[in-house]
Amino acid sequence: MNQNPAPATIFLQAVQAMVATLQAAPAVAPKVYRTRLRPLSQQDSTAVVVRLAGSDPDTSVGQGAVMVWGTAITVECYARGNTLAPADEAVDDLLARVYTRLQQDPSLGGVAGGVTPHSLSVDYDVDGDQTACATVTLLVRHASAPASVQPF
Amino acid sequence: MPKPFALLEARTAAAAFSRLSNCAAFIENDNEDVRVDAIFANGYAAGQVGALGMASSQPALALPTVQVPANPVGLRVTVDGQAYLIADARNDGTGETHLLLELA
Repeated sequence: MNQNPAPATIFLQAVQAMVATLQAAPAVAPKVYRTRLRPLSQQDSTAVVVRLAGSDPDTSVGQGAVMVWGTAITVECYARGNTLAPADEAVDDLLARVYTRLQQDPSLGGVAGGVTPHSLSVDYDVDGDQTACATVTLLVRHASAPASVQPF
Repeated sequence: MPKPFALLEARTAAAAFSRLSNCAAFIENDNEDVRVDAIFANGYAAGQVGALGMASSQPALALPTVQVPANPVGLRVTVDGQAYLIADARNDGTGETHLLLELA
């Protein structure tokens, strides 16, 4: 086991910062997970999952003191509903809270130069209850040290 | 045209459900709760949404077709105190019907 792990990359730091932003009181949902890998449990009526999707270096910016990246982070907004309180309304409410929160601090506590929306997809299913997920992909503009993925 | 086997199926289904019923189920019809002998199942289901999915359940009620009201979709059912709505009714053609339920 590595006794001295390397510092987190700017990518993980961005995901951590986004989770912290969404968890700040009042949290946007009872559960905000970072890179959860299992299906949400039946006890979760609403939940948010934040994960790294990928990143591209911005080659239009000269290699100077920093290296600029455009990092895609997906925020999955999960909500449950039923015939009386439909899931499309529940997921819409959660999506609005998530988006509003991220727009309040697009620097993610100072780790990013900005956060811009890239895409939104929504899907639905029904069994004994209705389930819905709105996945918003956000582009985070941030920087690393030159020729590195560590903070500058 | 006589359908002796169909009558036998219906009688057999009614007798079987009266023995095998595992719940107290009431179907609301014309503002009246009608008790039916039924078998309730509520297995795990995975809502296929997002990258992960959400755990859910699949409540269903099996009962003799003769006990199913006409036009059952949308009717309220109470099973062991929990209210559901009938989302779909699937008559298997042998005297038994499966009602797919949603939480009300």
